[in-house]
Amino acid sequence: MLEELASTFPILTCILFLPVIGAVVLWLFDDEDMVRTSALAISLVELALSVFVLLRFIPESAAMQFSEHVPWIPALGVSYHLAVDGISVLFVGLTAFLTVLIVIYSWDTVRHQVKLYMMALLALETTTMGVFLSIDLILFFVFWELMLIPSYFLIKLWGGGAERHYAALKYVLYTLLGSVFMLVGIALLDINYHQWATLRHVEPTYSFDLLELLSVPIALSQQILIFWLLFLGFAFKAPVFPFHTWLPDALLEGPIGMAVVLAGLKLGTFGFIRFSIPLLPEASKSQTVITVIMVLGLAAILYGAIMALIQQDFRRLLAFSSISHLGFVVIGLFALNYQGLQGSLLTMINLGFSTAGLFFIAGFLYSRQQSTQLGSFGGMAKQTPLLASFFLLIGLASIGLPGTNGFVGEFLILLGTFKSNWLYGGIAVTGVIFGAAYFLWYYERAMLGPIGKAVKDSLSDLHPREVFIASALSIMILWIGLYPSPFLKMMNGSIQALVDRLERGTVASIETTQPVRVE
Amino acid sequence: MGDYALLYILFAPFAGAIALIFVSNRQAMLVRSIAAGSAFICLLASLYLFYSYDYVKGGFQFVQRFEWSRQLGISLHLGVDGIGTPLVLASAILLFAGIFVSWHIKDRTKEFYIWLLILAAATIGVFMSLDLFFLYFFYEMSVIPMYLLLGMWGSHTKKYNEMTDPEGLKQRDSVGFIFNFGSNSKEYAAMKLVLFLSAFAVAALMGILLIYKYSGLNTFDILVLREQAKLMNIPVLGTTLDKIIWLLIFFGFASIAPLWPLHSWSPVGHAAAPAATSMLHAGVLMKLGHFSIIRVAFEILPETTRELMPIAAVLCMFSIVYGGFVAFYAKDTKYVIGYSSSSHMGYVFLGMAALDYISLTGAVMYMFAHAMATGMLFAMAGWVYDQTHTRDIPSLGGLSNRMPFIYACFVVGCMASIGVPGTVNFIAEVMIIVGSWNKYPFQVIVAVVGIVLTFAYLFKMMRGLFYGPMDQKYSHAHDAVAVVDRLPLLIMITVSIGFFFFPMHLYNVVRSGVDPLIAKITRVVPVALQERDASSVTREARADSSQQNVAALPGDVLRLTPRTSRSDQ
Repeated sequence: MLEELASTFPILTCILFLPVIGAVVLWLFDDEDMVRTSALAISLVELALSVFVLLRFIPESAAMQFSEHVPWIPALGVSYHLAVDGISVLFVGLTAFLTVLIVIYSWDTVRHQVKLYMMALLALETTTMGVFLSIDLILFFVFWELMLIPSYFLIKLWGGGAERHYAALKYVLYTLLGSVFMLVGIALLDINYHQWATLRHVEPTYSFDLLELLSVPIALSQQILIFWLLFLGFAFKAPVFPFHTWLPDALLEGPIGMAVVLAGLKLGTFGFIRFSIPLLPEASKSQTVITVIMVLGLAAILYGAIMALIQQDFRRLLAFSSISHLGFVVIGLFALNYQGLQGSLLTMINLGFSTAGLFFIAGFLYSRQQSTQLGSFGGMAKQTPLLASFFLLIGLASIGLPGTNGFVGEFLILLGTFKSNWLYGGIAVTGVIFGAAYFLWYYERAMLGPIGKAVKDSLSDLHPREVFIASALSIMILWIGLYPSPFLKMMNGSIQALVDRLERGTVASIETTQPVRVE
Repeated sequence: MGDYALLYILFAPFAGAIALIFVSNRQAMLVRSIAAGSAFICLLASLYLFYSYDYVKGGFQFVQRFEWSRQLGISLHLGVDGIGTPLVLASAILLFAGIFVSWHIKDRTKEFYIWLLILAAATIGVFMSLDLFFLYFFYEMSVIPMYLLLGMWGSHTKKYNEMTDPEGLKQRDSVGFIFNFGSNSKEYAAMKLVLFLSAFAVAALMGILLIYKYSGLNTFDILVLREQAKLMNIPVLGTTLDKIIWLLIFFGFASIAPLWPLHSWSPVGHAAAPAATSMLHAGVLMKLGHFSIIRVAFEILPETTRELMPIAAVLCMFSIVYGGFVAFYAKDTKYVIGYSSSSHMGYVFLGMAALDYISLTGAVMYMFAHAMATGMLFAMAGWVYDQTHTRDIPSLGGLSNRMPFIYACFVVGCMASIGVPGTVNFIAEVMIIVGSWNKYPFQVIVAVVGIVLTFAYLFKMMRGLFYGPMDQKYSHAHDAVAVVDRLPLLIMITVSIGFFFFPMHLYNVVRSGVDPLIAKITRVVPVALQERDASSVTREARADSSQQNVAALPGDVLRLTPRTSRSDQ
């Protein structure tokens, strides 16, 4: 059970609801420029609040900080409980950061129904924040499901491809399918808590609160069942191979802004590290689970990389490369040691800069050539040197060049995997080579060499707004790559607590952690 | 300067690269002077380093250490010994010369210099890393810039340029690029080089991670690992772990060296690269392989080295002979020099394999000497290419009238590369031959045959380029007249000849690094002593690492504290 630190001012609630309130305010405006400016203002305020949380966050601590707790449905034990710890705090900052960039990117690339688009985007930000901030499982589930609504409309209404309706539906159905299993898993957790609480006459008798669920023992067979139920929910969302088929469609057909959110914010793997592993430590440690997940992770790394190698469309390439990267994240998580968990968490953040950054680059390319097919590029570095440079830097970060953020995360994951099982580690490192191959090969054909036939003569280089987006991402990439300590420090405490939890398991926690009531 | 010399050397090129980002390409002169300035600082500091290295004291000097991650045991730990010092100097000289060799690059000058500086700085970083993590970090960092330097500023082969292709795409869009041997476009060369090297770097990374895991010391520090890591006698897959690690490290790093049969990326890459890049690559990047094997395998696994190093003695013969023959029949100037480099690297492997004081000293000196010789040859091949726009030897000829200075330097470069007395290569070659004779007489004979081959192909190339009738289309070709064009060649020639006449400082410095290493490898410890040693060391290591672990855990993470902030009563 973890310490909680409350803050005097409900800052997390502000972070959570500011975008959605902002979205309602946007509805009042008619002027498109006014809508854009206010959306930018709202997302900037949101970013400022998130940065404030990051600055006031106590690093090297496992405590749940800025905690807010209000009973919501006491009879069922559902409460409105928000908090951040080392695992989630960086995601809050990342979400706010990416939203600002998306708003800036959408300034002139979204031309119809601007108001609705911005409203959907801000609503999406609220629900995403909700997923990261919720400590109560029902609250978490609510935001998890609500997220689908703005996503669905964003893909369906503002998508660029002809198949966007199909892609939107596929995305929603897949995620819903997984969520149903997850809901059963959550219910089982609650029932288990209820049985324990009634036996011991502990109040409340029902609870979905992560911190309370953490304090009860769960039988191993039960744990394994719940683990697989939750796994399905998270695996569809992540997506873990072989549940990934919706991702290339959604990323290709949807608007760039949506693709950035889908590829940049790793909600599925966040679910693993937030709920599955701490709640079900014995199940996570069981040999079957580890073997199955490791094999899926390794398959994802290789499959994603090989598929990425043969893609002609840049956005499809990115989709498969992000499947490959998720394979790394998954094997790092289930190495179940300090380095692996730390590396995976850092890589999830990294992908928010590098993969999301490459989607912005795809957007820049799209707005110049009206396509992301290879056939429409070739030798563009001559005409657009700035675009080519940022493309290269962000791409090198995604393949893990030393000095960029990708290297640090990947190295930690490989280190952790080697520590737990060198055979898995040995297979995983081959993914690094494929990573270099697919990116560099694509880059060479798109940017270097002779100028392609389809490349327009009057190609303009990045304009100031785009330069701003690309340089903001580059700064973060180099910062984490060269000096990752501040980021690692923030997560250290929680990771250490998680490792301890894995060692002790749920059963041992009965003696040590009686719920203590403080009057 | 003093103690911070290593930081100046390492970060001057990086600082130059960062400064260049903010300069416009239109100010070409400013771009060049920034690049040259940072390379000059780097060169001055390495000269200081080389001459103030105290070879009587030996060991690692100018040590700098910055904690990077305490939990993982990673720190930016820099230091040079007698082996690293001359290689740092060689890198700095070649970087400085390379800046001037590429003085006339018009296309995206700024970007070119940025990547060249990063390449050189990363190489220098490997030579001074005392931490396995950063050794790998810099190693990997030196591979990726090659891709861009080749892909953007490189040149296609003649065959590729003449290839007719109705689509106009020259098969560049096919997945078959991996097997596309017929058309060596620069992009193909770049991709082959990067994939090859990163694939083998990954093997080396596996070796490094296995060392980290099985030593159990929770550190990447080479100095700690070489004292305390006990990796012997752990059975794995029917053999012992140390052998697997050693093979991973050896072949992982030998690919960049390049040892036959892992050499095929190297001539292709050298041929496609712009002159300055080839210089750095053949001059110092290839030595990263030998150096990393010495630094990791020799230092941490001395017993295994003694057992398995004969592998290198066998493979180096193939390197020498095969490389020599291909160089003899190659028609492309840069292919000749590229294959000659990979042939000459066989000598270094021979010197390393003999595990003798003289031969290893010779090998390290040969690395330094070869850097100068091959640097000169690539610089001049680059000059000829810039003037004539071809590297095809049969179509060239008679250039000695057009470019007498280059011709004169070329003769010196050939002499140096062959190892004629008068150049430092001679001393190094003699040391390798003398040192290896006792252990590997047959290999020494092969090496001598290799010297004859070197004579043959270099003189054949010289004849092809400079003698005979000249094609009139090359009549506009002119000599290197300006100071900036002559300076790099003169520097390298001076160094090469200078160290022939005054070799003792170089010898003493190298010897001070080689002595403890060979002593450790060839030491025969009685079995009883070995066991006692092992147990005591492990005990110490355990105590040490448990202490570290306790220190690494902040106490209050574990403390269970009641929740005080609940509002529901």
